[in-house]
Amino acid sequence: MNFKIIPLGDSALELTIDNSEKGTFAHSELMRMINESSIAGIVDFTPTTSSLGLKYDQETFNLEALRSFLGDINIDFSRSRIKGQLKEIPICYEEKFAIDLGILCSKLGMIPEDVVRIHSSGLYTIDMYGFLPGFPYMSGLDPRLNVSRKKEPSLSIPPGSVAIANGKCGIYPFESPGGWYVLGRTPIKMVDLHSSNPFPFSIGQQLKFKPIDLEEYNEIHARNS
Amino acid sequence: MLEILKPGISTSIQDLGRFGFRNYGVPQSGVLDKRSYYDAIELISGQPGQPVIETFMAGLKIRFYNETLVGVSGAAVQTLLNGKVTRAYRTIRIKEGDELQIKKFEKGWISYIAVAGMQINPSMGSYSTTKSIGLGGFNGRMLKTGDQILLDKMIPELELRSSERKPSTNKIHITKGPEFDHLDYESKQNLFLDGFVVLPQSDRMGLRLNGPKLKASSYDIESKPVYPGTIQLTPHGPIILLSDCQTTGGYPRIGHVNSVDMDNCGQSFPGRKILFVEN
Repeated sequence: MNFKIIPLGDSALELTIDNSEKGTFAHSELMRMINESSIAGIVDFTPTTSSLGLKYDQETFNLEALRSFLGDINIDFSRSRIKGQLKEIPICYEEKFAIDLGILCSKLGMIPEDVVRIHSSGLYTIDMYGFLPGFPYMSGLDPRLNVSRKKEPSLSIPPGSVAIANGKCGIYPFESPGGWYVLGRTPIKMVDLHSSNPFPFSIGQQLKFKPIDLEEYNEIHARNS
Repeated sequence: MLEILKPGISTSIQDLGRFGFRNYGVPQSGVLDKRSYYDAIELISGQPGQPVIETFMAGLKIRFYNETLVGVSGAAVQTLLNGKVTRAYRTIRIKEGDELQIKKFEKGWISYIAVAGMQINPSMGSYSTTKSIGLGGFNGRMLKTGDQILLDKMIPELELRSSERKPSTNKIHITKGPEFDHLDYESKQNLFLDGFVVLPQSDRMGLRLNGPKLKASSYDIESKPVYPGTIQLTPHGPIILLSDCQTTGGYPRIGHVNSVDMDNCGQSFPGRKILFVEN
């Protein structure tokens, strides 16, 4: 297997699998394999859909050990595709949560009912985390809902907001500024930093959205907070 | 116990950072000036990894309700102990009821206060505060007036120390980043030419810079790994990412600051000029 290894400064590297068949979360599988190896001095990993960031301790890390490990491994790309059972995420598309649905419809030339129907019938996969802790970049968005990011990001997007942009779907786990179009909100916590398992969904997890009404939203929300 | 009488500016609990959760998008956080951090804990004969108080500029005022030892380092040159001027970089023996204030700072804007026996609960393996997500430190937020932090009753072994701050420089050594070649010929020259001024919008997430025109062929790359020290080029100019930065970014990574110069970046206050030097 061929890898490109480039330095990101003097204490991190970026690894890229050189294979067009690799799919979107092969680098997460690569992370797992390196993590299970005995290579010393690795501090942490940043898998993305196109590469793997690796931070190391300058004193104990040995690049040659990593190179020789990479020379010997084979990544089973089929294995690196789907992780875990399909999970259902409740979502409420009520107007008060679907902050950007109006502007999204005018951008796409569609009516809200169609956007909601298409969005809620998709099967999504968590490709990577980034931007915020536990913010999942999910593939599986219907190409009819493809929009680029907002030119000017919104200053405050409420936690739980489900949003789309650049052909991806994401969920804001925290209140934050953001440039994606918000079309609904989930009452469940995607991240709980104070629990023993703060991030219940791994990269590769498949998700489906289940539309709920405001009453159900409030019920589940009350139970979860 | 200690109590915050005046919170100063952006005052938070930090340690050397939170590691091992970057794959879930958790920022590293941690002190912006590691050298000064080590200086502060050395003054109280503390342990690397213990929590300290990080504060910007002057103003932070603390009252102590127990005997303890305190070390002040970083940009602070003078503190007031019960209204009397004391020098930083010298162990301060605190008695019950003492009040300590950061009075004067120079050559930087960040100071550290290490307090022997300060009790903070770790979150996800670190004491560091990550404000944006309310994680770690003191209730996941900056310190404010009236906050009370417990101190171990045990009186630390008394060893008074003093040290000097090492000189800092505005020369920041960098290596080229993966997207350096997104810069046109002139911008590549400009990066190392006259230097950049730190903008007031800078914070623990990054230093925003203003300087010679840098132009990239594209400002939108796929989300890629970034770290404290990564220099991103946005349409509004370059940013040197700092401790609280995101884990991935979609702007060209034109360079990376050498680890040893990160402390100098952290202490680069708005208005200061920094000069990139290629390593």
